[in-house]
Amino acid sequence: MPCWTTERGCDPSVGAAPQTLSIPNLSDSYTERITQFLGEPSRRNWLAGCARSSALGLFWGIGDRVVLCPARWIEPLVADLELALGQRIAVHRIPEDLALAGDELDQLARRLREFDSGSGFQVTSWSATPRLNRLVSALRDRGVTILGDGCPGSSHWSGEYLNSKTGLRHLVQQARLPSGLRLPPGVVCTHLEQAYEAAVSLLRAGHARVLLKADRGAGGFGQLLVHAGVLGWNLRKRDALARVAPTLAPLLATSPIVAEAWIEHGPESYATPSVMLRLGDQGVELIGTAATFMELGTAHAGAVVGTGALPAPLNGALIELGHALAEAAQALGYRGPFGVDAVVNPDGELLPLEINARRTMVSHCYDLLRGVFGGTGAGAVASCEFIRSRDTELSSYESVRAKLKELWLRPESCCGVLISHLQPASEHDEMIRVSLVAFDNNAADAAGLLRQALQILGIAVPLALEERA
Amino acid sequence: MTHMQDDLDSRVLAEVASMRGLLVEPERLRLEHRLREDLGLESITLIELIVAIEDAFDIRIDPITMNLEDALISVGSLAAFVREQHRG
Amino acid sequence: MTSSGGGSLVLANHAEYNAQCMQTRFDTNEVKVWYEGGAELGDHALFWARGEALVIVSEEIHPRLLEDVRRFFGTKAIDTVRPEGDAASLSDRVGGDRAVSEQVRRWLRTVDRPDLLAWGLTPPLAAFLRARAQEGVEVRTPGIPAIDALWVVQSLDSKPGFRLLAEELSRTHTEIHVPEGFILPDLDVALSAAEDHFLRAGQSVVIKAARGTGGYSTMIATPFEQPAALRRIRALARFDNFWRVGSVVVERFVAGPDGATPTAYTVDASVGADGSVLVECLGRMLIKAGKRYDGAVIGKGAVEPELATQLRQVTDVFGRALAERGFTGLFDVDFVVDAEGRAWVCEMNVRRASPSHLVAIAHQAFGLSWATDGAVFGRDYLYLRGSLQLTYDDLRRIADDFRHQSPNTVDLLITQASRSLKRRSPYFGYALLGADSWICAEEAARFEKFVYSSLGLNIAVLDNRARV
Repeated sequence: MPCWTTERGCDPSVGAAPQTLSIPNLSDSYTERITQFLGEPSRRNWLAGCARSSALGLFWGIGDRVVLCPARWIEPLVADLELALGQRIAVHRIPEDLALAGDELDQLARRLREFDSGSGFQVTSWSATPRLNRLVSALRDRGVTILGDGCPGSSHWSGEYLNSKTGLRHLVQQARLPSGLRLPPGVVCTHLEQAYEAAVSLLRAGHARVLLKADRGAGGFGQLLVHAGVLGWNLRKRDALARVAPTLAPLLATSPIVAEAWIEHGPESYATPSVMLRLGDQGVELIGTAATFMELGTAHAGAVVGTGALPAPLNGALIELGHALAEAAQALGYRGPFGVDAVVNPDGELLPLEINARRTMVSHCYDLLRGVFGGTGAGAVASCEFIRSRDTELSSYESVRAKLKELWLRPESCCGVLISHLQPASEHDEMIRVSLVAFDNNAADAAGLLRQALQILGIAVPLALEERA
Repeated sequence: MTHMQDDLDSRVLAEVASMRGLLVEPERLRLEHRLREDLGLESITLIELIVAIEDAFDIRIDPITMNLEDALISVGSLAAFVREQHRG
Repeated sequence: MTSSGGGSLVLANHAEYNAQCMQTRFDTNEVKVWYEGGAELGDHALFWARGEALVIVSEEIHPRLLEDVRRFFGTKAIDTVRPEGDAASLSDRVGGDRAVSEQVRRWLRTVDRPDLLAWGLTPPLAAFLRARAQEGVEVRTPGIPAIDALWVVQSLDSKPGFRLLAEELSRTHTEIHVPEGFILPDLDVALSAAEDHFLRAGQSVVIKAARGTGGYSTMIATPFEQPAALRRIRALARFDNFWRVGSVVVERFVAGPDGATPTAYTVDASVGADGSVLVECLGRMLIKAGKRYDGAVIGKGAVEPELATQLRQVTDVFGRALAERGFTGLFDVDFVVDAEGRAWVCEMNVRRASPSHLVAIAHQAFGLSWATDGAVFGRDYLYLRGSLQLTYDDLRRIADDFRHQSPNTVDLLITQASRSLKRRSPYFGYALLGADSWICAEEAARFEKFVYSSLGLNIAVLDNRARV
């Protein structure tokens, strides 16, 4: 049976740890920041993406958990997870805006009190928003014992600040960065036309591509990649950029916009690493490091965490960078999960790209690693997210599960794969979307298992996973 | 399909074919090809395509009054969009 | 910077410059208010060239004011022209008015290597210059950056843009002090930061929208007013779209010696392509309500020598940084000085500075060594609260009466009145010249009381004037 632990280490003799109350409040987190600026089709796509990603909340935390989520769950997936991890998982549907009241709230509180094994709950969320904090308060008022997650409402600003693209540039200037570390060259602009001119300036300085990033963007939304071809653009095309770009990347109509030199990734499979920490009143705690990989350059596609995920020198440098930025963030009053995404350029230089003052698409990997391997530092997890397939045989959870039968996770060996999410084809999307996680002793083996799984399903293997052969 | 529709579709296909970085060879381009998913056109290239379409068909594309998102799904939807503007 | 001989074409494009940050979300009424404010400053443009000039203005200049300026500079060859049209962009209006276009073309042909002076670089001005180039007219543009640097102007003209530059420079130049602060994505988050990080710790805070000028779209909150302060700010911001467009800067308020408003200073300079910085003027700013620019005192005694050295050093660093980014031309850096005498940078403008007309006046009155031989006190907005409509001639008479009874006043000029006297709440601008800044300040205070008592206005209102 896997040994579950608290985030502070495996020591069940010291008393039971709180259970997890997982609230994957993605669309709530982005309502103020992003969705209000989007036109209807973009808004729908964004919220659909949030709903998909909120499924990962099922895996957050250690041990038994209650998951409050707007998404509909696939019952067999939950059942399989309970069996595989030896944990109780109760799922309760709530609205996207977390607005529960009256009987609904009473019912939820009752359910939580029944689930509580005596140590109360630790909330894990995408980010601690004012709405989340209000929900937690309301549940506490109804007798549920809860430890919060991250900043209380009044300090919510620090999370918003850190999550903005300018927040990183700003924080880097204030943090005592390890020597030699720098940001990608970039300029903060107030309008798209200025960002274009800044991009031209960067291209002329020799950078092959420039990324225009809306301050409020996330998940690849609100970005436009500009290449050297625009140096030859006439006024017509520049005018078209201002006119049309906000339709293609809606957040580009907001302000400010960062024009940043696109850092080409090195060829290695660890070229886009990330580090996750947790900031508490007692200090900064390292959660883990990951090698992530992207789809189309900017959208998260998967990660590998654990033993061998990153070469030791890079791992060390990344942790040092994460701590430096985390300490600066802590000085602002921020509390909660704190991630830093970085890139390793072809010269082997590490550059920070983005701060995430929230959980990320890798968070569930860290939790699963500790949950399955007992927080001992052993083992590895490889994940891939929302891989699409047109194969009509893969029409349901059961059909995918059946194909992966031979590779399915065997808890006693801590080796195998699980389906972490599945969205069948629908009238809006003819392709099935599958997310998988694979467990094994080290990163190479876990990645190998994931490759095998994808091959069995007839899905193209991402290049980054191929390179871990 | 009428001759005129054929002609407009061909012209739109030709404009798309002239864009750089296509994932499909120009001679194999079809109306069903999705601009982003199948042809790999990035947003910045789509802007160039819009300007090329404006010049080729003497129209002005205004995202505020026109549904550009639907127009930029596929080569065919782009052709339908252009046809609509001509009729307007 | 002035013309180097042969006359200047002057474009009083204040409103155009200010309005270029009002592209989205602002309706015509809001733009109109800003246009009016900018148009009123057109009178200042009469002084920029320090002599012969054709001055293009948005609104008519009062003929007596123009006469007075001509007399002051000893030349009749200062003319104004006002293109027709409604466009907020003066540069566009020139192109749209055939008669004015032709007049400008003729004038340019008669002057040997004409200079063009303007408030600041804008896209319409860039188009205007391109059009002249296409006509084969070579126009020099001292003080105006190259067209390629337009994005630098628009970026650094914003509070976040400036703050990022200032912080970057402060990391390698210990003489640059930047108040602790943050750039936040919107007003709600900014107010939360203001409360959580500053006010709760007992510190007053300044909250600045990304764009805005003259101290508008800037608010100050103190811990003593809480929680009303932030509620007030939220309420006021509902009517001002500058708070809804772009990010918001929150900064610690730097207090002065008495714990309240600090003294503010400005250094007006220009930078060349090689990074060499020429300081045009150091001045003490007149600030109203803790944040609104009201005028300046320049010349002898305006800035203590030790402080002046500090300010010049910092301005030099900023100038070099601008040149590295491809910017050349006029800029200014504004400072506030705390109780310990330390200067903190608070803003930069990448355009002609507000005291520019005062520098021209000082040059004319005191010569090249004006900074040590005399001083000018310039108030831009002396409001005549409770006044009936005042004509320029009335005002001129009052100013002359004062001069006659003030031996310490070397000269007294009306610098702004053409449109401002016609407002419902009229105001005017003036420049008072004297032997040094202390004398000028005393005389200015006497002059303002004299104006009020001459008009039968309540002098008690003057107690709320900007601190000198």
